[in-house]
Amino acid sequence: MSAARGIRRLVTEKPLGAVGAVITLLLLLTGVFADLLAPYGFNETEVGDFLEPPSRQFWLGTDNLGRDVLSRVIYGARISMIVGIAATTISTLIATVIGVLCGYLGGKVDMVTQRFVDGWMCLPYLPIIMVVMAIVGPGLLGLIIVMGVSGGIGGSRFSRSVVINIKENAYLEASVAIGSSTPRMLLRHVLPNIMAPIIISFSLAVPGVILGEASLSFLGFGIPAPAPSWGGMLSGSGRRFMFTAPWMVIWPGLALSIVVYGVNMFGDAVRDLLDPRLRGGAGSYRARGVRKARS
Amino acid sequence: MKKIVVLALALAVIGMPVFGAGEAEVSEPAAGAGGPQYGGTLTLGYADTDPPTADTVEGRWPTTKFTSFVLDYLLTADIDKFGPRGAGNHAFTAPLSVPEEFTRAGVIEDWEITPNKIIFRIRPGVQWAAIGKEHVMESREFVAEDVVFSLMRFWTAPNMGWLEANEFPDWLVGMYAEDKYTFVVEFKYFNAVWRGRLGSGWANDLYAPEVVEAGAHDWNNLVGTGPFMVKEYVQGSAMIYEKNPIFYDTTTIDGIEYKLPFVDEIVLPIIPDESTRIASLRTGKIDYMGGYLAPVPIHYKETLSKTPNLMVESVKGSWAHTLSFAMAEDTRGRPGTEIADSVAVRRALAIGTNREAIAKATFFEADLHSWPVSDKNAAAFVPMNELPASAQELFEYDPEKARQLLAEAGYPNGFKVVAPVNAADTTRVDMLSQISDQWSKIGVTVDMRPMESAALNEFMRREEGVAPNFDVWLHGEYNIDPLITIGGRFGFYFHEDFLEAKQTAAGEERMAMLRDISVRAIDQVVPGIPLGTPYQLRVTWPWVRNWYGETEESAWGTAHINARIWIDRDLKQSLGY
Repeated sequence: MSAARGIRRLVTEKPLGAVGAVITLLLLLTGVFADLLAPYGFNETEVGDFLEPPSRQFWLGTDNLGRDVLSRVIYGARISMIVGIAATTISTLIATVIGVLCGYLGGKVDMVTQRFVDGWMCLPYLPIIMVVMAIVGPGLLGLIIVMGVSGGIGGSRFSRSVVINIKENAYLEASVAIGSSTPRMLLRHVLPNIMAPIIISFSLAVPGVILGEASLSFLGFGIPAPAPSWGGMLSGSGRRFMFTAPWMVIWPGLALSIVVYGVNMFGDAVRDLLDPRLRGGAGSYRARGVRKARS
Repeated sequence: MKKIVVLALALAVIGMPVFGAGEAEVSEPAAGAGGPQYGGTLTLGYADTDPPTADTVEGRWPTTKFTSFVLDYLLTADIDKFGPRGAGNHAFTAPLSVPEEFTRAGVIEDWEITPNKIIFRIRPGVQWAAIGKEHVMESREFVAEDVVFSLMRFWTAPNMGWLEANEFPDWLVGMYAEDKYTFVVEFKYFNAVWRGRLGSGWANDLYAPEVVEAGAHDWNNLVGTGPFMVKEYVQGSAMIYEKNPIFYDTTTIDGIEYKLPFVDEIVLPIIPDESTRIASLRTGKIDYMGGYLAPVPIHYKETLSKTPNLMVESVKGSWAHTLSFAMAEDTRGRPGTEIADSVAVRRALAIGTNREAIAKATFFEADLHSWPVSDKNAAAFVPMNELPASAQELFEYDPEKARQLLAEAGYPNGFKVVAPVNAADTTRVDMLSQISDQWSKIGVTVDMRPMESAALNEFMRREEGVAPNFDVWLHGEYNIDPLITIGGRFGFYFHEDFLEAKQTAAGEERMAMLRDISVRAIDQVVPGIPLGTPYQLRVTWPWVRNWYGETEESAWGTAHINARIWIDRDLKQSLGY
């Protein structure tokens, strides 16, 4: 499917997904160009009065240190973007490696590894991450690695199931018959054929990671101050002044909700468009086949 | 005739305890007479966590907040005479800050100081109130041997080494009971901190030997001579005390002497969340809050002021915020970091810090001052205008000058400082964020390290011979006894002078020496940047009577203050609570 055709299908068949794509794109652009877009630095104090309500000069108001809330929300997008993409990339890579090896090799490797994965999935996600973050200390890199690794181990169950699904296909048997080595099999035949579901799971995992980062920052285990994480802005002074200066929590909360909603919608749409089982099926509510069947 | 005899006998039996205690003249007027009333429950917002063990040896100072309702000290604050209800000489609001002249005997009648000993005369008739605690001991008279047992237990406990920290390890010669009512402490030389180590400081609370034998850690075993007794401790819910009916102390109101305590019960609900505690106060579930044991931040002023009948006033807090440098502490063998050990850098950073902006943003209202802290409690305080010009300069924000000083100190391009902070402490995270922005203007990058408290403690642990991991840190500084404040802050740098001051018996002379140390430390050492004392709220319901804002009588102890409070139950009911 060409990019142009994909976009056309997204807009025509999944308009909500298209809105999500725009939001996702805006998040990416805002994050990348935060330095240009933000009127002030994210920790530039006393640019205005303390706790100044939204005004012509400060569109979203100022916080208790006289920092511009708009600038902090814009820089917050960068953090959400970095954490969302980086942690999901790490988790997807880990999940794919474990899943492909377990799914393809099977046997004892699969049995032993998946029991470990079972054990890992029994542990409560947030408390475990909080404990690890308390040990390594808050910070962007630590957060990305911790969320990426923990998400990747659990996520391997999905990629394993996909590999098992395609393992019995004739083209793989043919490849074995002509003497392909295991690495070649994995790289040339297995991986390319599981890429669509992997991409889908990636897009669906991003909002979860963004929310996870916000939760951890809200609890004080995520991005350290004065960096403006949206979750962090909702806690700390935001919570303290939420009644006297509600704009301190409304805007980062709104930004977080919109972005998570948008990326989710976009992920859903990507799934519907890329998943061959849903293509033209129930997932594609405007697909021609369905309309024909109904008529 | 038979009825008369029975009535006379009954009256005699009822009257016996009163006469036995020698307090026949003490009044207990009926409720509703317009004056003080007995009865009711006083609910306090002191507890944000469960109490630790009931044994101060194990629980240290967090324990004393809870034990002090039950356990007495040799000395207590004379709030009746010198507090706001009396002559108004002292506010009795800051911890460990009661000057010697405003102290009175508690379970003792008086004390006498000689060059090498202190003699305490025990008040005869004081009882260990073991009512309902018969599994621990029977109620009996409090005697000098009990004091020897309790204080020696603290001084010899292996984990109480902190008692001697920064003190004279060889000061104490011994302590003994000369007779039933005379307790003597002998020492090699006079030490001005004796009250904090023997009379009304941490680990001075008096435990009965029977309590220790039964297990002093158990709240059910706690028996004391104080105004209240432990009634019930429900973990995660509340600590409840009941009135000690054989408490020895009285108070005089409008010429009438009243037996204490007034209230039947004191309840300390355990409420970890600050906003929930404030909500409990606002809805009349808590009777009053304020002071360092139940702080109400100033930003609640608007919300609380809207509550009908609730009395809200803004008062200066009892602790200051300080940014300290991790510099060498020679007497402890601790080296500092390269940045922190440079006095030129410390001066530049002090001048490059806008204290007014920090105070306004973080506290709304704050008292900016030098050191130790500004309240009149700190007798060794030196007002800003009495400091030398070179010291006053440190408190005037001038980023250009700061940048220039850094260049002269060999840092024209600035440097990075590591600054750990408790991630849960919003106020300090905000303060450090502001400092980070201000210092960025003089070329200094602040590497903020917000951490969970256990991780922070581990990160900040300083060891002998090893430079710390951090350059600066923010901390609170209680407005306490000048000996402790100045000893803690500047004792490392003027060790000999400080020892001399502590051994000086004459109060005024000692204060002059401490003031001199203060000024030299502020000007020459610059060990940190004082960031001001925030204002807080004192919030009271009108039915809480006979409380004048006092929150300190001994180390975190308030029992005698709360014993004087009475509840106007009619008013409370008429207000719908």
